[in-house]
Amino acid sequence: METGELACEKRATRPKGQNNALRRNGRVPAILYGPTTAPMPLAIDRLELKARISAAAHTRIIKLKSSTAEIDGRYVIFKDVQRAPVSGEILHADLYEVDLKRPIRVEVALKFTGKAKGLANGGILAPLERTATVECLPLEIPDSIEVDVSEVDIHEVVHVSAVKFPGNVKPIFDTDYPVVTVLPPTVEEVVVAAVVEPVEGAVVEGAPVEGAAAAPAEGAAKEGGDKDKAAKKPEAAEKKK
Amino acid sequence: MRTRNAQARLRRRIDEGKMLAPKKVKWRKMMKGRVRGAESRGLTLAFGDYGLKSLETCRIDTRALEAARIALTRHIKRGGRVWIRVFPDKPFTKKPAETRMGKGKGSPEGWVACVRPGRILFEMEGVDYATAKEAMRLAAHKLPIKTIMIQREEGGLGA
Repeated sequence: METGELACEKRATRPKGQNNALRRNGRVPAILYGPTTAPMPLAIDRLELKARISAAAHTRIIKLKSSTAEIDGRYVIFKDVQRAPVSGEILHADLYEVDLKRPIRVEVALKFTGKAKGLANGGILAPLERTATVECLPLEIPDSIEVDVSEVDIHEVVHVSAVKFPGNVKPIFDTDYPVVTVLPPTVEEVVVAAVVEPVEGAVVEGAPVEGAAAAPAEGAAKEGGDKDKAAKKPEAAEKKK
Repeated sequence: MRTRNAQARLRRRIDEGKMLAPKKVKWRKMMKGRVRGAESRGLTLAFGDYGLKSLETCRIDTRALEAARIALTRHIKRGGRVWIRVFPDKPFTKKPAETRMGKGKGSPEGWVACVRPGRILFEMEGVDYATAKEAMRLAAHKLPIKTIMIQREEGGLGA
């Protein structure tokens, strides 16, 4: 695996508010630590860090470049990245120092290849896991692990034990968990036709004379309305008192 | 009249368990409270490949969520899966029409989900980008807040 380079500097932790000042100036606060390394606060250029973290970088192992001798030349991986909730801007990064000769455990993305047999029958490919924990030397971490799903039919499952890992990469799992399946097609919602309510004044079959029936009804409605109003008025007057 | 019918329909659907509402609560009525700040949980995609993210603070009620869900599922038809990442677990009350103030708190009227900026509201999987985008657009029109569609970054770190 290739290694990328990342320029960084040591940063001060005092006075308070230093980190926000860094962010305003286009830099991101970070921390470097490891099994034998004491925590060391760093500052990294935001754009450089963003490019290094993106999937397009294809580098997990980063070599630090710095004018400070104690930081320069260290090999690290990104342990954690904090982002702003709405904009997604990087707020902070954790860099974990690795020994290139000692195997480490990392999460590697699973890539599903091939067209599943169940998809032809209307099934839906449902990844149950998107990453797998593996143990390998830092320079042998694969970009992704391919999972062939071409033979998977509806309700069939591929377990982690069936996934082919590269020879130098050891998968870590206690139970043989499922990785991907093909679900049956979802049932389309039936659109219920709206019930047509009878419209006022509509002609009803078998009704008597239209004019004669409609006129008293309207009058009755008006009278009823007036009576209601009249009945409400005394109540309102009483409440005011 | 129409409003009363709509309310009756809503109550009936909640009773039938067809809409998003808690099955049982300890207290029927809750204080209104305020929704402040940005979200700190539910910020990243957990299930699907595409998501609808809120950009504003709001109380989204059951009807809006249900309308958005229906818009999503109808557009994707038989193709994909949909997840709802918020749940309306906060009751709101309303006093009857033409009632004077006082005489206690109104009766429970419905349920809302308190949403802050950054929260993923819906997730989707099993459809292509164009279908997902259109479905999310239709769903977003049913919601009372501004939203943005997000997509899973394959193999990215901290996505």
